[in-house]
Amino acid sequence: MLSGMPLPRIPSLLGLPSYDLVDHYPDLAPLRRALRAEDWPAVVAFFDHLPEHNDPTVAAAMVAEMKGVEKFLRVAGGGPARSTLAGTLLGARLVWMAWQARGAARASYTSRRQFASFHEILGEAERMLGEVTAEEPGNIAAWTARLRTARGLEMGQAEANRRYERAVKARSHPLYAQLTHVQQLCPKWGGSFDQMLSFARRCADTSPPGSLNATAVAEAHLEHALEFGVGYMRQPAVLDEIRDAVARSVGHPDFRPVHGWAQAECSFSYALWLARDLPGAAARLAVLGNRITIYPWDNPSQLKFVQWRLRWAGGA
Amino acid sequence: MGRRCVMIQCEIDGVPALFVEAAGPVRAGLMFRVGRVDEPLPLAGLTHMVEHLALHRHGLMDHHANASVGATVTHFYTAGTAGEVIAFFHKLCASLADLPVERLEVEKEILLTEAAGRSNGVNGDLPLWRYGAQGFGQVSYAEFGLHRATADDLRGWVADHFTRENSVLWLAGEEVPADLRLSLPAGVRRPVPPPSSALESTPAYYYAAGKGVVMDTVVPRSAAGPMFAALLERALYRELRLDSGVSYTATTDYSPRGDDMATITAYVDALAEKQTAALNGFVDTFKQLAKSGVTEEELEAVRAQALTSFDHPEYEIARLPAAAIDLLTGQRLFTVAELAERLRSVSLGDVMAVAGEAYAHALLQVPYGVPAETIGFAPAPTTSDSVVTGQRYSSRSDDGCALVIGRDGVSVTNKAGQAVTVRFADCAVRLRWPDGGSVFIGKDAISVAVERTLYRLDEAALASLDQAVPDSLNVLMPERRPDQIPQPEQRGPASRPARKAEFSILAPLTAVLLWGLISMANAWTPEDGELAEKLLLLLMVLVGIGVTRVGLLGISRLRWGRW
Repeated sequence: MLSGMPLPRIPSLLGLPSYDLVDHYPDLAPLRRALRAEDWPAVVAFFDHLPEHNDPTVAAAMVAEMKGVEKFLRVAGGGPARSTLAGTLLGARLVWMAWQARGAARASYTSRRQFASFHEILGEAERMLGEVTAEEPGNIAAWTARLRTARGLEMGQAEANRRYERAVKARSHPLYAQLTHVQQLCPKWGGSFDQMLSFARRCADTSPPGSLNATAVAEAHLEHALEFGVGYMRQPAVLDEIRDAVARSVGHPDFRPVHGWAQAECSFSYALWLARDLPGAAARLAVLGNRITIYPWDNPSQLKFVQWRLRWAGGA
Repeated sequence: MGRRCVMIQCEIDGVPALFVEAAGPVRAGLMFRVGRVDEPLPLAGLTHMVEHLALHRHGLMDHHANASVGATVTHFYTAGTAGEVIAFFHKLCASLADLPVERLEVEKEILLTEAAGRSNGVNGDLPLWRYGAQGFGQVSYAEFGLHRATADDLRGWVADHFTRENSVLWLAGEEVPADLRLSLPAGVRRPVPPPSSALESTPAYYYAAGKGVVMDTVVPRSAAGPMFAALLERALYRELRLDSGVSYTATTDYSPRGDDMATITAYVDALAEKQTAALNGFVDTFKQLAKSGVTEEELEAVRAQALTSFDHPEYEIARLPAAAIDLLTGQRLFTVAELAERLRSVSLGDVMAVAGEAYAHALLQVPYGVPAETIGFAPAPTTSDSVVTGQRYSSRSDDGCALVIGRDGVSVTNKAGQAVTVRFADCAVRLRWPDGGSVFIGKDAISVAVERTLYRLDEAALASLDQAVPDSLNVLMPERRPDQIPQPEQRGPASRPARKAEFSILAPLTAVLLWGLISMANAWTPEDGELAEKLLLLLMVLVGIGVTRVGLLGISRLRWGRW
């Protein structure tokens, strides 16, 4: 077992957990430097040399979260009309900006003005990404972003399913497309818990051992718990399933820390914590160090609190 | 294998003919270069009337015979013994020379019945959106001429179009029957009209009622064209039926237009809840073909399939009607060997070029309610650029719309400042009903209804339109049932939310009360007594409630952007 894998703790201000994807995956640092320096050839080279085992969706997400990067991406390499990479990254950035404009609240608490700009930005992203996937049907980052636009623009389950199938053709076992599709299959977006869970299980069952895809199971259960309360997570059957998902992914001997591993560990640790498997959660958190992803942890202090509780309980 | 017969060009009584030697019954067709694209719109259906009347004297026939009117060609065809075929064309030419016009009114009724039972097909509306209410767009419209054509109209139409020079005969049989006569009057070959356009830019889309997504596009005629259509069909079938299970039907068609161009049509169906997926899947697939092309294997699969049709023993006979159309429209005729060679020489680059053209000129029909703003196509025009100046007549439904009647045209304007306008000079047809209502249809397919039931019109306004367009554009329609007359939309009571009304009443009321309170409190002295004190207290409470309520309403409006 490689569970205590030597992943160094990252230095951060006051020891607060970091959301920064460059902290999670230090090999993304040259990409950020290239974008800050507006060095387009270096950006292109980065994606050209991205190892096959890393889903480019993660690198695109890092770019999407960079404030103001859209100004450069609109002109980089001739802009989205000339460069599919610029189109992909700008599309991902616009999707991010659209969800920022919408706010995290549920639909009934979102204002009409917020919705209008959400739809406007998503519409621009969708048009751009549609051109990209026509030119590069194998572009997984673009297909994952298009799954998000389809959800935001409420295109329905049939269209989301179609896009997911296209994502699978673009990259087998596409983790981020799967996690996005789990969200799509929630009742709040027009799906059902049964569909969501069976989809997540299919993702886990068909994935190669040691891959991250079983994360979908944890996230599906977390969505379930969001609706039915933490009591749901504490059922033995659910806990078993989450432990099984850990064992076939981040807990598997074949596991390698490819891009996305921090997301997987965050989802597993949160699920195990809610399910009151303290040692299990502590083991995941130990690997995670002070890395945190926006989903499913609510905020850094919640993570700090849990870490402190686990230490206090002698779990870690 | 038997001897392969080849197509021979000859001439019968001055009519160009195509002959293929074949065993079995004689099969033959006589084609005229006239169809729906040639008719003036108010007389639409003229050719169809001629076709029906020309076959009337044949009565019930014991051998197969029929006729059809297409967009550009009218076709009479038959199969039987040599004697039957000779008699069929003899009677046909005699009837064309002397139409049984006394049958006209009965035949009109029959044609109206035929039209009522016939659907225009899934792609029925595309021509009018692409070409407008003229030329190639006319096939989308009803046969208005059934309400107006006279015997003289028909005779003139026959004399101009059903002539020796404007026809082609095709025939398959053991030989060209020596006694076959085609006595047609002399005339001229009628060219296919040039295409008009009602679109500002393509690719474009419009909304219509329908169960699926249908598209057409226009590409130069080439050997790669039909191959692209086949490749598109394969790609759509794979994406929408096999992979995503959205559609049952995914089909394409390639049809020469009669000039050097061809129309490619594609259609996919879907259940109501899957139409967004059908639209997006369709556009993704089509766009991908145009931008990334196809693989060599795909091309070879389609090529192999196309080449097998040449091996069919009856291929040369089967292509006779299509070859006759080509001859009639002045297109080049190819031998089978040439066709096969052209097919073999199609490269991936040729297909890519067609795909690019097809995408650039696409027009897509989207079912109502399916969002199409993000597919990257331009919305086809549904409004006009200008409004006529003249008298305004407001809408009876009080929706802010108004009819404007000017000296040179009619417009309908709405609250948003949009307008539809038909200038009398660009009017294609005006339909008039005995109840006084009428519809002006412009050559750009924009239409304006002038109805007393819809607008506050007076008799003088209607009278001013009497001579608006030349009489040749007027079609007097049969009387309408009351339910066929358009009625103003019933608008529900108070569509404004109650909260908005509450705010607009409460805010000024509170302000008045507050002003009253302040001035009374200023003027108050202890001598005013207990009643004044209580009154002030009551005012204070009322103002308090008012301010709180108005504040809550106002804040929620600011915060959520809605009442």
